[in-house]
Amino acid sequence: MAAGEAFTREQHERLERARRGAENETGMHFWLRVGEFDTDPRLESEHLLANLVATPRDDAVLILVAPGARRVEIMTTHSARRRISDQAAGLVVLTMTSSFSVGDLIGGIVNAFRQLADAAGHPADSDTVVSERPQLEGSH
Amino acid sequence: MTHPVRRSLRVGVRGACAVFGLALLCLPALPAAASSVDPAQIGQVGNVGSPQGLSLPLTLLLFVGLPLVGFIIGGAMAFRPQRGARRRYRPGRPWTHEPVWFGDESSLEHEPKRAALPGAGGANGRW
Repeated sequence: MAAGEAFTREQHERLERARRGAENETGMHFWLRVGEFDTDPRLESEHLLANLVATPRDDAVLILVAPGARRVEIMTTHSARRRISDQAAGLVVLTMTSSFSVGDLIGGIVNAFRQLADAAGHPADSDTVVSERPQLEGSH
Repeated sequence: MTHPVRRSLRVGVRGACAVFGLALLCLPALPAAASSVDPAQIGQVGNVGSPQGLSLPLTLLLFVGLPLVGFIIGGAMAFRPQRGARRRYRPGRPWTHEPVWFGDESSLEHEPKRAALPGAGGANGRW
């Protein structure tokens, strides 16, 4: 892995801090990969997430960003989808693409983690959080 | 931000600021030069500042050489390679870096456990 090549150390730390913050806040697993796709983006992200999680019942989210192909993919497991609806994931994608289109790769990803953590809520009260927020009702 | 005219304008302004800054650095030398003049000679017009005419090489050095040196230094400061500029993402440029993972992806090194994830959701987009 050529971590030092694509990002400066500071950028790397910012992304890692945002990812870990989202994990701590939600109790879910978050993965991020910044790099190009080898195959079909949807299939590749599903295959990757299927093999990243310990069991398919885990709450887990995978974000794939391909800056060259200008494509972003968010993949949620079945149980994570109940906390982060496809609609909420779509809004996160919009946040990311609007930042990416002006060249702000790091800011877009950091905001995405924050927004995903907001949508998922805390592990204990995830159900109440979903019912409090009308825009997330698509998850049921 | 990526517009070439705006970029060159920014570089030009930066170069001008650099030259101005360097000129400011020379300011402390002026009082020192003034104090080296013999007080008895002050007021004798045509005698203090220019006791004799400048020679041609000295004229060239003062009025051509020094400004040139200033511009070269200013230009070098403006165009010097910036740290981190190479790593900045620009939309539309190819991404030649190796994939970077955040989070523990070591489980991918083993044999694939599953081919699909039933009930998976998410979203995707382009920019």
